[in-house]
Amino acid sequence: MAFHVIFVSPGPSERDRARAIAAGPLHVSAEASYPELLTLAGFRRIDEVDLTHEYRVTAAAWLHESARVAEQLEEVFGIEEFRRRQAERKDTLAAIDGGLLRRSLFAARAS
Amino acid sequence: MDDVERAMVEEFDRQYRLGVAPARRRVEEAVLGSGYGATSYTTLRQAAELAERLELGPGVSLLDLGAGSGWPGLHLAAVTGCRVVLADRPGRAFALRSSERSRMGRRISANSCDPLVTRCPSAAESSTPSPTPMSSVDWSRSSPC
Repeated sequence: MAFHVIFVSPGPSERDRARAIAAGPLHVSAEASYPELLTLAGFRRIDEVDLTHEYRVTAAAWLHESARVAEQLEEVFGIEEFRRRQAERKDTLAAIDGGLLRRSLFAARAS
Repeated sequence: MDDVERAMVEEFDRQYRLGVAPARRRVEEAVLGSGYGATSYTTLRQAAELAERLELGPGVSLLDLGAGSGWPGLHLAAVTGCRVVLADRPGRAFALRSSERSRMGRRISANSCDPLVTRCPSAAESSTPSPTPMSSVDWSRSSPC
């Protein structure tokens, strides 16, 4: 099994955890770590590759590439929604820069 | 499925429909290198690393859990020659482009399943790890637009 996933960095304060959850994807509020979850599900030889830097680069690219064609995307999504999404992307970048969100590749084998 | 979940699924469906608009697709191509209406952060290079780690190739079956738009599962099937089973919640649209259907034909299988009512076997229960599972769980909070 292999998957990419975004998660809250371990050990944040309650306030920072809430900020990370607000700035991250829907599933980011998982409380157990992915190695723990994989182990509980019977997977072994768990390998993690930290892709947080690449996540930051990609998140910034979504923001900037979308801004380049803002008028066209406003026609597709509507002005209000497009601007809301761009604001969310800025929140995501701030959370990554603040060390609150991480993204990794996990690979594991069934035991 | 409760009202909150239903609203979430409807919103994902809407985003996947809008995600194939030409302007949105051009952004996706610039950011990820893909053109599937994807909502993730998985780049072309990261998809290639998945293929390598999962040892994908002809004769291998890939199970893409939470397949969403089909990125990167459809792409991996196209470039490696593996079979792909796309699984996602009911109502989720797969961006199965007609050219890929004709090119890959029976190597693509798209399935709807609800994880709240469909029990998947744990790895410990599954003696045969085939098809190789890949979970596409890094959806954006809503969807890159």
